[in-house]
Amino acid sequence: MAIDIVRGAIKNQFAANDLIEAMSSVQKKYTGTLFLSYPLSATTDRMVTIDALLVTKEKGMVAFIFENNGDAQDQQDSLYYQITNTLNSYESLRKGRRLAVEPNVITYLIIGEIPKSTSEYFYAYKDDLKDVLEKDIVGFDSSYYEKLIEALQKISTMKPKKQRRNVKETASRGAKIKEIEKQIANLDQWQKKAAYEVPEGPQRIRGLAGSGKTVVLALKAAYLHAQYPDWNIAVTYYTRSLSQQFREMISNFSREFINDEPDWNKLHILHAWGTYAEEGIYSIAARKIGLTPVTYTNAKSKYGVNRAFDGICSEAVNASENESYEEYDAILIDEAQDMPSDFFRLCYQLLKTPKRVIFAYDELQNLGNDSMPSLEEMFGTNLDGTPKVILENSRCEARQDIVLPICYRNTPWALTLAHALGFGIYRKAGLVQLFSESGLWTDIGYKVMSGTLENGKYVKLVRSEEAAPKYFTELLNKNDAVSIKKFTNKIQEYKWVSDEIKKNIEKDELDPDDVLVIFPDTYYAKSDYADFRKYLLANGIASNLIGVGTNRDTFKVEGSITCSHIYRAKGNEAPMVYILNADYCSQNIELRKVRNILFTAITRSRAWVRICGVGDGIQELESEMDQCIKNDYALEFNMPTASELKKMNLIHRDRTEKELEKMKTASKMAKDLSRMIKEGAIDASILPELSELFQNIDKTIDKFDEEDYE
Amino acid sequence: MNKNVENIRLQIHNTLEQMLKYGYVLHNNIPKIEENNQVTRITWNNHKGGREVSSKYFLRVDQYLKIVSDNAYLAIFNDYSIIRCSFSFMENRIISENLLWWPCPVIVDSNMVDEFGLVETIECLLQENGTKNHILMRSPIRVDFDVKNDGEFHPRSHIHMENEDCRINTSCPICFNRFINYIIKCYYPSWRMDFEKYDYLSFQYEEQHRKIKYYNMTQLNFE
Repeated sequence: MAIDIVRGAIKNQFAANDLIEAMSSVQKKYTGTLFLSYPLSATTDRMVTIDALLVTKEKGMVAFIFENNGDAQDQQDSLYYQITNTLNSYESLRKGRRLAVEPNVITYLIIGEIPKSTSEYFYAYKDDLKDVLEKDIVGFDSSYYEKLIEALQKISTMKPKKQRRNVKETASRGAKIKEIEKQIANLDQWQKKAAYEVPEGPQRIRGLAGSGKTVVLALKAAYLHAQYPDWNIAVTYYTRSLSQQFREMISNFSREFINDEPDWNKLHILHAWGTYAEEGIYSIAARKIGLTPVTYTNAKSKYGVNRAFDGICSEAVNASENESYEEYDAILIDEAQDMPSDFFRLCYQLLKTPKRVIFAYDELQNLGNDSMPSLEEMFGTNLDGTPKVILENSRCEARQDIVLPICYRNTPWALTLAHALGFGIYRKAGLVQLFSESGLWTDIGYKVMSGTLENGKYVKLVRSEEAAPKYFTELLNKNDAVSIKKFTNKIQEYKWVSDEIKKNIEKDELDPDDVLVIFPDTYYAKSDYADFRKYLLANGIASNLIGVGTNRDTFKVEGSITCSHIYRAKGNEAPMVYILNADYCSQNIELRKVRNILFTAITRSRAWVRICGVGDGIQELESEMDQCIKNDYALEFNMPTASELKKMNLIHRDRTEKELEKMKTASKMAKDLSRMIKEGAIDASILPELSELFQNIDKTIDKFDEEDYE
Repeated sequence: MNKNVENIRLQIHNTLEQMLKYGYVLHNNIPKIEENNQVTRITWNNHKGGREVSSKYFLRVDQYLKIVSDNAYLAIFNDYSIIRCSFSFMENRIISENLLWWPCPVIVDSNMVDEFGLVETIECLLQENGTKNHILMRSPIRVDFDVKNDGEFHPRSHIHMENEDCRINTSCPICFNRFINYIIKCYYPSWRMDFEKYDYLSFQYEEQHRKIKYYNMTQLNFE
């Protein structure tokens, strides 16, 4: 028994707090949620917000009105009418010809005279709320509670994008994905909180890829705009294809709340950078500071490709001398993991007090240790050295730090395997990388089956049941979710994949644009695609290579399968994913990078993944995967000790261009040497340098071993 | 299928495949084959009409940008120049052809293309200060053949360059390989694509041996 409290855009803080306090007297009696400032679907052009909405198993829906200016009875009638109208659109709440759920309305007062409740009109205040709820609110059939929750959680405008009229069978892949898409249009309790909770300050929303962060941000933006039409709100992101997604989603949600498109003059959807053609957060900030925004070419020549955006944000921050520009009431940042720290500072400077910066990020886009900078790095410190932004969750206030633990996009099996391969959990030569914060495992939905999450100790982790929506286990088979296939050569690989895709379209009732083929090696992606396409054409399958052949914001084209290299695939998803030439991700000088690529590729899939490749590389991945499957999709390993972690980070650290060049040369030299030794062309007697080399190698191994002795 | 069309299709397929392997071509689309009455045509995919693709826009950057955004080309080179070709046959005779090389107007950085997409990159480069550092002054080149349109001021077989009304007589229609050979030998001299005589096709057309005296007596002979 407990009542969860969601603090939305509260207009009457006094009354809200009073009500929350009053609720404490019934906390133990009822199970459900108290929503403050609940947005009802607009039925006319008026925005309807319920001051407080209590939804419990025992009492059903109870709506509170805070104000009592004017005709309280008429207010109650009107609200009752609005709520009933909304509920009427849900078939699941019908009982015979009527609604199974009667909304109750209470006018909640904190001062002044409290009128006496009648059989139709209820009034309450703090001290008698408990009685009013107990005695006056009756007649709710608890069996409708789940349906009621579902109806209220549904965002009716989030209909599946595709009708999938071609689906005729009940158990085809097409039928399964159709069902999944239908079920996804509900918010879970964490997403709801994340969307509607409005703190007086910053807010962080973290979660796995596919946990719904983008939807949550879009909903939040629409909600804030509906509640505060005078606010200047900005939504910003890095991957350009998100622009279209945000626009569509926010429009839809807005129509739900205010029956109209948002006022785009007040609600801005902006790329983080901006180009000559459209403003971005950076270009707006630069202009406010009095700088001319630096263009990409100039930024690149100044700071190099990788640090271009970072460099110009730093420039702007340094030029701004910590001034505040009071441009926006709220800035919502998606893909925060892709933004440099100084970008957050720019956002902070563009905000009016109380600095509502809301940022969402993927905990694990980069599996490595350097995922997110600290809050101090992101927002800076005050003159006294204290960080400008701290995130705390206090019981009496809207949450500032929210984790979305449920992954809607990936099956728990795909996700576990992606982690296994990404971290190298079952890799013979050892781990490649690991979270620096062991607490993160449970945050993102794993549970400890045995052992402990401590350095140097053994642990076995599995996805907890609550962290995955039920539809995965109900609709999909874990053995079919992910598979690895090894081929003797690329021709066989391409032919097999092409035949499988043909089957997906002709027999499995999937559409061509449900299929995504990823080429992990960006350098060869175009030529690999050109070769692969021949096999597609032989099967009459149309395809699109994202990036060259299409407009930059397009990801899917109806009637074609999508082919992409990994960077374009980021942020996108498809029911069926084929990863070609995945052996590239097995062993490489930049092992972390390629394992990250594999992680990202696997997590593009909404249902099925096929990892394909050639040679030893794929063999290695296959054996790692087999181990994971043998453990029934669990991650079983010894957490590294501190020194082991250090060694791992050293071996697999990010390297500079120069270092990489040197390593590539060394690799080639080693290969040549190895071959010559094998052929008997050289040995230590002919080449004394060889014995020195062998000695050096031995010494390095010894050196590492020494460090293990503490 | 019409034998000529099939031969052209094979030429296109094999040559572009070779060029892909060499890295000269970044990406190619599959040509489309259309049949209308008795005319069979092999042409580029995704054609979209419009002002920008009319002959008036022959030298205008907008034409290049439109072709690229519509994905209405046969192949794109590694310097982002585009190639698009069409050939029309009635039975065994060629009735028209349209062979275009549209060089990319700017020096493009492929990192920028990855980040912003090609069209945006080019628009960006053309808008910046210092744009003269990025511009490459090259004219598109188009080889046309129209068996029905042969007159003193309009050779039926001609090449356009530098001016939309420039028509230099080229004497006869050429096949895809001959066109590619011309473009590469003249405008990408560091590239190597070794075509042999047997890689070329010759076509039959009406009044093949007619000779008209053209006003512009300049002539360009393909290898």
